[in-house]
Amino acid sequence: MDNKIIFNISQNNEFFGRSSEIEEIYQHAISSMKPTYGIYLVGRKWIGKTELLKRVYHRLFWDQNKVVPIYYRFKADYNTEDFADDYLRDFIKQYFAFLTKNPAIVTENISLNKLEHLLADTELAYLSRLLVLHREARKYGDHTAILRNAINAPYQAGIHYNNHIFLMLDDFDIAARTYLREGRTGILKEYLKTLMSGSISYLVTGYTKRLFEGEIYPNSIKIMELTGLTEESSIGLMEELSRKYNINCDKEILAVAAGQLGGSPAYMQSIMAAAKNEGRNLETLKDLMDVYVKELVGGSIGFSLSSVISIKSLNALRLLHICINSRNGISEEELIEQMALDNEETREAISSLCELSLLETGCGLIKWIGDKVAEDYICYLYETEAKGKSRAEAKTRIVRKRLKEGFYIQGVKIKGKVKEELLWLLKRFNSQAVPKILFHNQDFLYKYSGKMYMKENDIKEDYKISLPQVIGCFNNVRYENKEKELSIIVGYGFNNSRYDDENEVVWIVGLKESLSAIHAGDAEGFIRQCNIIAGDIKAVAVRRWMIGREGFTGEALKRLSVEGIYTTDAIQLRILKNLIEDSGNTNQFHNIRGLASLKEFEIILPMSTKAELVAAKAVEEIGINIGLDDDTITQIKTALVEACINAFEHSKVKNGKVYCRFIVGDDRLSLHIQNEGKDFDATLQHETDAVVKLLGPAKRGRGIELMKQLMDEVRFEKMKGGTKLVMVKYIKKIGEAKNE
Amino acid sequence: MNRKFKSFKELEGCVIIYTDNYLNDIEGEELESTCDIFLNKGKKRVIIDFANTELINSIGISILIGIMEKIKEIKGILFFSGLKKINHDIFNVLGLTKYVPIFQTEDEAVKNIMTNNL
Repeated sequence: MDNKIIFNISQNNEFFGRSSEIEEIYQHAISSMKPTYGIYLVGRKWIGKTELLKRVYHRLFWDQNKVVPIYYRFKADYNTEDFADDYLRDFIKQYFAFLTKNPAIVTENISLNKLEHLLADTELAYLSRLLVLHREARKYGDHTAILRNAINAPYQAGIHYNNHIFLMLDDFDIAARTYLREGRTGILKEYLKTLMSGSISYLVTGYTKRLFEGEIYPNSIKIMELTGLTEESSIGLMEELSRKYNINCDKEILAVAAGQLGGSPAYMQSIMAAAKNEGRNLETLKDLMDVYVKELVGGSIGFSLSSVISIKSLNALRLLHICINSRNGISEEELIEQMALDNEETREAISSLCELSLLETGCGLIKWIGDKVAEDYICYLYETEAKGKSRAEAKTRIVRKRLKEGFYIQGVKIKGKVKEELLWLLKRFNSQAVPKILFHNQDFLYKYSGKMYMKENDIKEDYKISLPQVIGCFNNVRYENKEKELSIIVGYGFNNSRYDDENEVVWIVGLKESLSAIHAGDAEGFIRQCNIIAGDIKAVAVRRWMIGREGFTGEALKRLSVEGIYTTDAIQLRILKNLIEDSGNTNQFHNIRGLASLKEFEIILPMSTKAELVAAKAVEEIGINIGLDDDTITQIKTALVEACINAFEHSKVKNGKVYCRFIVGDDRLSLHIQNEGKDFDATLQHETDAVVKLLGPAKRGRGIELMKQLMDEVRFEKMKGGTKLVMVKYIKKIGEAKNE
Repeated sequence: MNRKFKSFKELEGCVIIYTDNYLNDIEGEELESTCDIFLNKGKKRVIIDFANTELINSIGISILIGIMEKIKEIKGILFFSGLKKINHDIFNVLGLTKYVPIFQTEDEAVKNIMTNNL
């Protein structure tokens, strides 16, 4: 009878940071008189989903009379009959309790028979009839009728009494794994039939987004992702608990704890309770790690983890350990090779670990998706059970690892709000060349995970990115999405220290400061926001940059990489800040002015036969020098030849010259071709459809079409005494978009 | 009268004309003149081999289109061969490949042109 807990909510001063979610669900429940979609609340275990639902329930129960709230939490080991008994009993008790505003009905132990008789001669006699139907179905062992009668009861009662019902189904993914004894029809499917009918308003919870894949109609369910509490809320909660338990705490240590515990209220409560029980204060990193590891291997955290993470074999343990250590995921083939198992066995193990929400498969890679606490728990099991080390040795290993990490986090921690630091940093962007890896989180993790970050040599060897000179940046509140905790900052500037249209650039920066990593939903939201902003400001070039204080999920990194969006976490940001500060003081890094002068070439062509080939040869050398492939070089040469002969043809000045300037940027090669005299412009262009009209005498007109096909940008600029043609070829890397 | 085009091979029933490294207005006009000579001699099967050609500009392409038109008027056959990838792409973009069959090598073009009925 777990559902009695619905009235057992934590004290208000121990509940932090979920007000917007509660408000959204409450408004959805009371406003959805004819619901068009349900809500799927998805989040890791112990992240606070149940507590949130309890608070929504509480408000619905006491603050309004229109919508009947019904809460049910699924249990793992129930068969069909047990489930139907439990579900029907809880529904009827809660319905009855709401109408009479008497919570005691929910918390009292009342059998189904007693309920049937209690309701028989009242206004709620219809509920009694539902119980009679259930009793009859049980008597004849009709499993399908038992299940359908129970699942449809809220809907039937709602119609009969003309009430609106808001159904909250907690741990719904357990339903997905529960089967009828006969026919193997999933309870999930039975539920979906009712829920998808659009006749009932509902919310379900689970751990994985994949729960509904292939089962729901598009747009019929809204996914609401519940992540860890923000650092601020986490510290607030732990400070409140420390006052209650009389524990002395250091705020910076609590910030490290918040990060390690992933903003999970349940973990934080366990740690604070354990500190109280042991009479420990949390004033140093050592205090925190001692309490943490003890809780992890022998306390309530360890107990909870052991109840949900059932590792069936040593091979499963080894498999998890490999996945944890391969930060960016590992292919199935590589895993099979490392495990030295047959394919079938490995696949079965992967599948069962995916069900436990510890692994995720996608794009041919298998990835660890558990939190840091579960990671430590698995590592502890691995050390003791797979490697045969003593418990003390395994514990010491975790303490060492987390102490070093905690110490580092303290060291790199950006004081105050990251947003303020970012604004400060952007204003100091002044055409510096900085390591590109600081804007590519996936590469950074791959290269430096577990190693010393950015040694001097690494900085020298790394590919560089040229920052713009930012002339103004703003925290653009208009575009922010508060629900997603994403701040948007827009920086305006110029590349290459050249103040012309071609070099004007806008940086759109999305910042997530909360303690959860940037996930795919955040990434999609940011991409949409960027499109709106880019449309509004009508910028020629836009660079998009996402910063996540807690990094990124693999899925988000993949999505952002495909879009060519820069990705930076708190550690990369800290390094970048140091570099920018250093570059201001010691000029240690190349300024792009210097870089540009090394990579800028000018040729002046006389108007003579085949002079354009001289320019083509020069650009070929530049292309080889910067590592372009042969096809790209030939494309650029062909476009350049075309531009030169156009310039010759339309320069009416006797002995005129054509000026070519080639500028190699970090991500592009720009060709500027300028003549003296009359224009050579786009009006020369004939019909530009690609189908050739088999013309006789006309020998010109396809040049501009050709240049546009071969280059990424082609534009004409009016100059005093001539025209300038600017062509740009992007130096593409995998996954980088063309839209800069 | 233009200079005679430097490189060609006359086979029984067809002629193969080889283009230079850079096909521009001058080279294009020479190519056109050479082609005219063989068309005037009654050759109706023409292969232009671009194996030596690295760069083609738009004037060169316009001249090629003129040659295509002339051969079409006399109901002759024109094949291209030996195009480098970039030039093949350009021909494709400008729609030439819809009108002229293209072969990887001169030998393939010869084999096919001889089996084509006029």
